Amino acid sequence: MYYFDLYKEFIKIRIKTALEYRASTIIFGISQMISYLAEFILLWIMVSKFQQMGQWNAYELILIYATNLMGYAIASAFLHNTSTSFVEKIRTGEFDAVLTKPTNPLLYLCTSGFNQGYWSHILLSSMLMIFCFGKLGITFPLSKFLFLLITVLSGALIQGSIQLMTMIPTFWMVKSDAILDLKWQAYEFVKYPLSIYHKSVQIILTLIIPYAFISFYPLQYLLGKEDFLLFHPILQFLSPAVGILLAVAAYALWLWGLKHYNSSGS
Amino acid sequence: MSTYVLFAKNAFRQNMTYRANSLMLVFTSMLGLLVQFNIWQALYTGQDPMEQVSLHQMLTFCVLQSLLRSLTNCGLAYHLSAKIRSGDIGNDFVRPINLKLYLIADEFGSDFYYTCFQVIPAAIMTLLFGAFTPPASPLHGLFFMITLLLGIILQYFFAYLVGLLAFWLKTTSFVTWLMGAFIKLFGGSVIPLWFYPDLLRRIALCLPFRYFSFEPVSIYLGQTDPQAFLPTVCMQIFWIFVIYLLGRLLWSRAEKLVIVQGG
Repeated sequence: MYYFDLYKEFIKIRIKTALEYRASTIIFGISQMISYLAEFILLWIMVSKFQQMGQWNAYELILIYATNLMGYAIASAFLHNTSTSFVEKIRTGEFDAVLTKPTNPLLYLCTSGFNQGYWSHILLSSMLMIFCFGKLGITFPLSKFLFLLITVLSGALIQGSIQLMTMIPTFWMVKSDAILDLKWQAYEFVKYPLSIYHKSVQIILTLIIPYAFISFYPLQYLLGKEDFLLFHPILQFLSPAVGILLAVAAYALWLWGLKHYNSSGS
Repeated sequence: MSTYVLFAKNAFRQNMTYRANSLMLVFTSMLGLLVQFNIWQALYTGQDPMEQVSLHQMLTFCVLQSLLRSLTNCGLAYHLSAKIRSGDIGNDFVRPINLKLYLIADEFGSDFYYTCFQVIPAAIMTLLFGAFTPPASPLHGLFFMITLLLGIILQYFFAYLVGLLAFWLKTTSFVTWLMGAFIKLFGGSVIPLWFYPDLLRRIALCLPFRYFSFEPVSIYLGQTDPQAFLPTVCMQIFWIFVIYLLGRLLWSRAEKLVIVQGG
């Protein structure tokens, strides 16, 4: 953390660049918002036609997805560029240059590759959250607000850690698209309540790829749901612990990868 | 014509080199279908049978749509705009082939390859869930094939049109996002239009997107009356014609825009 100010400066530069191209930043952000909004509208059409999916109604389902999306946006702001350009950086030897810098390589990559474009996701998901909580008539004392905030941050940690983990094979493999594909497909599952799936899927998404902690379990608590099925209700409060645990594991894996990394030699 | 068949074959073969990738694809698309099936099962439990659309029909709808989606995955808009932005398009002006047909053939070859790999997971999932629904009648089946073919042509032509916009726009990625959103929302391929609220359905009925893949599958499942078959086909041909003309118009304008600097 010595160079905290330096990392802050990197992020500032990225944001300033975006402000320089204001029109394109805004047009791009709005189109992305419309694209996500279309998904939310489809979700709403589907569930409101049938009243509910499992025990969840349309607004509650939108909340599951919106909470997911906000965590995803925060994680991706730091890791999207980092993970997508990593293969290229290794191939060209640019990563080797990063290693010679007197900084933490991961923090350097995350901050110098900061993607400011995710403001649109965060704006859209917070508007939808306010709208849906309002529609559901849920009042928000400070404690619940803090719970939601911690949930979003834990979600960001979980998704960020998994993004980081999918980068590790890149140290040795040139093409690892398949792993990314699988990550996306797993993500598709947690847009909907975990309780609608077969038990095996529930176990996988709780214990192996713990995506269910991003929004399903904590929202069960916030919305007073009782579709627990397999596990103990205590899981509703474990998202921060899962997030921190995963982050530590992901960072340990990263360090291990770094230690065993041999440059491509170019 | 045989030249373009060759282009398509080549694209098909090119993809064959990534075998591990294709196997992974079988697995991931199975997961995708599993999510879809589980969603509709959850929605249908505890419901009265809805509007003559049974759960099995709905699952068949998902399977057919997923196959169609991979058959018209259409990286065409993306590849064309990349060609335009990089300036590669200059070379295509001098080649003795029709660029549009070449792009379509190339794209179709690789889409067809991926679809072959989608058929396996689709079949497995359908059998597992016992959800196979045959066409409502031989006539429905016949018109399904006709409208399907026209729908595919329509989608490729539309993607070509979107790609051409790159001649005028500095970045096209936002157009792709927007078009994707409109097609998803008004095409009825994710959620069938039967389930739409009145206002949204009325908008969707005026737009061409439902002829892409919703109408063919609706015919297959017998949700469309036989007397609506011919009007559907006519509307598809009408839209193909409109989009074809628009493409011609944009292309002739674009030809004048292109300046080749040296070689």
